[in-house]
Amino acid sequence: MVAAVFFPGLITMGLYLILAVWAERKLAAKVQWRYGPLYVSEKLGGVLQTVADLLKLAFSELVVPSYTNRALFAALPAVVFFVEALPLLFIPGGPGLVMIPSGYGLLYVVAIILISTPAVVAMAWAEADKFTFIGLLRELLLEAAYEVPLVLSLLAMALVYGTDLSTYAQGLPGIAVNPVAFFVYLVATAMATSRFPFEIPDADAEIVLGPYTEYGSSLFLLAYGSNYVKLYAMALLGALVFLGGWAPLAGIAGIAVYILKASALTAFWLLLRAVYPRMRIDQALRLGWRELLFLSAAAVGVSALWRLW
Amino acid sequence: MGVEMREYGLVLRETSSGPGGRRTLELLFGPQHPTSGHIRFFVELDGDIIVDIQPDPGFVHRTMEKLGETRHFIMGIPLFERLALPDAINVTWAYSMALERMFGYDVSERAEYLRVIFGEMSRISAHLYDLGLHAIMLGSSTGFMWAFGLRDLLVNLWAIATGSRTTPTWVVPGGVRRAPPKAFYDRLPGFLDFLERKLDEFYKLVIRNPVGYSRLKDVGYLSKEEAAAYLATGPGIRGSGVDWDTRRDIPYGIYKNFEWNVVVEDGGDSLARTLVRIGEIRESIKIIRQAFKQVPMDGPLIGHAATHKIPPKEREMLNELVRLSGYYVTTTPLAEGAGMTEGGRGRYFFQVWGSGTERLFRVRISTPSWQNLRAFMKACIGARLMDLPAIYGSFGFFPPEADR
Repeated sequence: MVAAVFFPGLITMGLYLILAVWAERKLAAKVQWRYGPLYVSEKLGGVLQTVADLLKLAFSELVVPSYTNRALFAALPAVVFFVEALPLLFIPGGPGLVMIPSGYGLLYVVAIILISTPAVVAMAWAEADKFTFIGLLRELLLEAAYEVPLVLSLLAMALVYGTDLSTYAQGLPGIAVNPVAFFVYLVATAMATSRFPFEIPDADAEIVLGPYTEYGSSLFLLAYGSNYVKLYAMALLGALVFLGGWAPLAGIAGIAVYILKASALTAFWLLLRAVYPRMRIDQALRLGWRELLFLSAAAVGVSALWRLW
Repeated sequence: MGVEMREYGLVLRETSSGPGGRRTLELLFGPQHPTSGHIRFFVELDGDIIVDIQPDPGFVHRTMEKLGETRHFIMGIPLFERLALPDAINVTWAYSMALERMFGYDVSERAEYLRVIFGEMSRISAHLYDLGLHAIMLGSSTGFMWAFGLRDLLVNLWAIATGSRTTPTWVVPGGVRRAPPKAFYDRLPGFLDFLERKLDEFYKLVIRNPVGYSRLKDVGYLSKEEAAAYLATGPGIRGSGVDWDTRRDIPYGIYKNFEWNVVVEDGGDSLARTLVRIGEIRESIKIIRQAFKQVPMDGPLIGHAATHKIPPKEREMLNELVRLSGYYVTTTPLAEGAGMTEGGRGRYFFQVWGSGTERLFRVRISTPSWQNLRAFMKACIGARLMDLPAIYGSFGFFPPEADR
């Protein structure tokens, strides 16, 4: 119950959505010689700007294109949002603080992460627009490029620690055991959550907003917010698997440590926006299928050595 | 289910020509699109490859040439600088040059130096504008903000000297409208040093960036022959290895007094065109520094012939300010004149015919973006859809200027 409502569940997730969007804009602004959001709640550094934007979006007119299947058009953003949030069911927020305790938590999480792309594709298809169509094709191609490295990097950790996520906070953190796997996870997650330089499915320079083009108002919140929900799940997973989660503390302090680690990971992914332009789709695919695949295979090799030793 | 693609708004076109025929998707890129600008492209895609692209310009056609015939010739200056506001000085310089040749006006020495300084600032402004937009088209928001941040310092200098950040209306036939105040001369060298330093950072962040470099390299190739055949201009042609620059080849102003080089790159791709921009900013800084050392701090702002019509009271302040009343009582002769300048995006060409009244009989304008359009379309064929913005930005295509 605490896990579902407080951490890693709804309340923390909601706060993360607001703070991540704010932090993304603030971090980029710092690099770009400007202030970022400021005037809404000036003393708080403009945190409430995101809330204001949320409210504004929620109360704006909802336009449903006439040629779409109205039911699917309205339902699929919620489905995408829900599916992206599902991994949280199995990610523990502390010792025993998990919604569904399972010995195979890692496997479930990986499976759900990979399922989310078809949901996005369905959403883009229901929108029935050329830009969303191209966006969904890019989403599919990218998924093909990142899923193998992502799974292999997590498999490498599973070789050492097993599939029960609650055991990852004991002993050495994963980054010390297998830094190669950590690096692959960083890059593959940037691809999976369409961070720069892999912000290809929703590249506004060519295809407006890719799979999210036709949405507005509250449906846009759900559709676009799902990206950040996925980022949240991936940051928690990465912090647990590679950075040792709540270790070395426990209880409330442990949760704070865990959130701090996940925030550090998130900040890295968000800061990429200020550093990199967007890769071309074929370059991203080549990266995924060549360098990243080799590296992830090497990561599995490193873990195999640990097992043998 | 058997849902028709057509119902989903995804109209695919099938052609049986060519080996095996091909199925293409026609994409309407613009005019309401994040990066299309005020133009529409009919892009025909085979998979991810652009097999055909047709431009549909004219969304911001403002009948500039016709408007130039309907009002006093001096009103043409604020009008025509709206062709390309980032490059305002070079546009109005070309128009003023055409008027000067029609009237037979001379240009004062002080004005020549000031025009070079401001013309080069205008080139820097246009290049920073294009580099910034190119960066955001590639996805680098930092490059966008940096370029526009730097340009903001420049337009503030313009504001000090001319009273306006974006519409200086500063070049007049025979000279310039206002003398820059001391504050302008105080701040200019500092700005140039800062720009030079920050330009290196921009270069490292956007162009030397591994991702940015791979987005630009070998993209939108335009061979030397093609560039010449399509009459590309500005960075569009110098990026393809053609060594041509109005400032040197059809000399105007006092550019021959300074030491500078025409920047030419042989690559022919987006990277080469971008490098030409970066290089030209450096050359412009060089020219401004030389002109800054030699510029006379006192002297009339307009030449002898133009002074003729200025009322005596206003003639006394010609070292500081040119009141336009003298121009308003001037009528155009039955003659013609042409002016050509090298702007940031290429060469601007104005030809004017006088009518004997205060209005011109005809104004003919040729702008670089319009000239570059065909070369730009040629460079897009065979590129990927994601390359389209990368090529667009590399030509610095500017629809308001192309449509006139």
